[in-house]
Amino acid sequence: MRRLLLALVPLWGCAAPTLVDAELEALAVLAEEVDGDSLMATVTDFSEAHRTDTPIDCAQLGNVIERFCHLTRDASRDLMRSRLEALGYTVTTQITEDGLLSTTNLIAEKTGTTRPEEVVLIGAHYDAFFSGADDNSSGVAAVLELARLFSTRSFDRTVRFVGFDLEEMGLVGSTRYVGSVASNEPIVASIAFDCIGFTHPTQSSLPGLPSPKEGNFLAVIANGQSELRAQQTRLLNEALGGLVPLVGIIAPADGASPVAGNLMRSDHAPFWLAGREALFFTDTANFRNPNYHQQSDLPETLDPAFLRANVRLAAVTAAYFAGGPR
Amino acid sequence: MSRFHPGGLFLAAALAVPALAAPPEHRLHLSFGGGAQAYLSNTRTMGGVGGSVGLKDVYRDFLLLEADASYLFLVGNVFSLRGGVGLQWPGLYSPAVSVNLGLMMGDRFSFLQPGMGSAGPTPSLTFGLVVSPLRFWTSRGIVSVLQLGAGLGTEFPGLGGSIYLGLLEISVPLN
Repeated sequence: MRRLLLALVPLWGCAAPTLVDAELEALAVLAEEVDGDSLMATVTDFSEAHRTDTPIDCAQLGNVIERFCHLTRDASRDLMRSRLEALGYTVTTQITEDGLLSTTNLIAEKTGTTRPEEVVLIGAHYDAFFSGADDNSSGVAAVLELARLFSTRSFDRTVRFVGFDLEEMGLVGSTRYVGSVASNEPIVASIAFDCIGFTHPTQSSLPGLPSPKEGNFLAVIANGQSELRAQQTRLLNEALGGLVPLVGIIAPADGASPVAGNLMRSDHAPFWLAGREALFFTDTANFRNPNYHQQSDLPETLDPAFLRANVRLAAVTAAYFAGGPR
Repeated sequence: MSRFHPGGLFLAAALAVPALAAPPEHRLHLSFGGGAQAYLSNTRTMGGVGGSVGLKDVYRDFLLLEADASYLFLVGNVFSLRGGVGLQWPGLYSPAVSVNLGLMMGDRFSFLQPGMGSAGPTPSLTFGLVVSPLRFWTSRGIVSVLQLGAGLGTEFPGLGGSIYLGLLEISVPLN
C-alpha cells in the first residue's frame, strides 16, 4: 500500500539528476586509456578457452536443451583468475557445492581510500555456450579491462570485480553471490555486463519497449531503485561527447513485474530481487544477434569499436560511482 | 394537399412520453469495471490490468456523462482517471460511444533514447474515443461486455498513444 501511495504522489518539478563532483577531465583520460586491441585479444583468448574446454556433463541434466551440452566454464574461470592475479589483485572464491550446479564465483577488490566500506561492484558471468564471444567473453573482457585501468588509480569507495558462474543455467552464481552478501553491506552501485560487443543493421524490439531501428546502441537497463544511476550514466555519456549511442530502459519499482521478464535475464536480476541497485549493460543479445547461444558466436562477429566504446562508458561510469579516479 | 413532416410525429411522440411514464431526466449509475489500459510513447510505457469504479449519468436516455478511477497492476502500481461525454442508443441494446480525457500516473517503464528527453514523473494525459458495441441497458442497470478505446496524448517531446480494453462493466442505478 505504501508503494501505491508513493506511486501516486505527483512529482512535478522534481529536480533533474545531476553529476556531483564529477572529475570529467580525469574520467576522459580514463576513457581514452581503454585499449580496444587488448579487449579484442581478451575476447579471443576467452573464446578459445571455451572452445577447447570440456563442457559440463549434460547427461546429468536428463532431457535438456541441447546447447547445455556445450556449456563450459572451467578454463575461462582459470583464465579470469590468472588475469586478475597478473594485475596484482588477490582473488578469492565463493564456492557452493551442489553437484552439477556447484558454482565458483571469483572476487577481487580494489580497496577504497576514504569510504572503503562502500562497494561498487563490477561483474560478468564467465560461463558460456560454445565459444561465447559476445555472450559473454565480451563482458568478461570489460571486467578485466576495468580491473586493469583501476589497478593504478585510487577511488573513494571499494571497487569489487566479480566473475559469476553458471549464469546460463539460471543466474545460479549471481543468486548465490547476492545471498552471501551481508544484508547491511553497502553495495552502492553494481554493473553487470552481458553481451556488449555486437552490432547489427537491424534491431528487434518488443511492444511497449521501443528502441532505435539500428542495432548499434548500448542498452543500460535499470529498475526504479537504480534509476538515478542510469540517469548518471547517460549524463556521463553526454558530458564526454557521446561515447556510445545509449538507450536507457528503467523498469518500474523493483523491476520484477510480470511483463519485465526480458529485462531480468542476467546477473543484475538477483540484485534487484534483493532490493539492491544494479545496472545491466548489454547489446540486447538475441534482439539483434543471430549468433546468440550458437556455435557462430565467434570473436570475428563482434564490432571492436562498439565494444571499446561500451567499455569506455563503463569505465567512466564505474569510476564515477566509486568516487574517482583520484 | 397537406404535407406530412416526420419531425412532427417525433415531436408528438416526445411530448406524449412524459404523460405516460415521466422518467427522470438524469439516471445516475454507479459503475464497476475491469479491463486493461496502456499508454505508450517513446519515453515511457504505462498501464496494466485492473478494476475501476465510476459514476455515469444517462441524461434523457441518450447523453452520457461519465467518470471513473482505475487501479492497474502488472507494470507496477498505476492509477488512472478518466472523464468523458458520449451518446448511447436508447433501448435494451444500447451501444455507446464517448470521448474522454484520461490521466495515468504511477509506475512506468521509462526510456532514455538518443536525442530525446526523459518523460519524467508527470502523469500522462490523453484524449481518446471509446466505443461500447456490446452494451445493454434496462431499468435495473447497464451491462457492457466489451469496450474498445484509443487516444492520443502529448509527450514532451513527441506524441503518446493510449489503448483501452474494457472486458466488463456493470452499472447500477442510484435513482
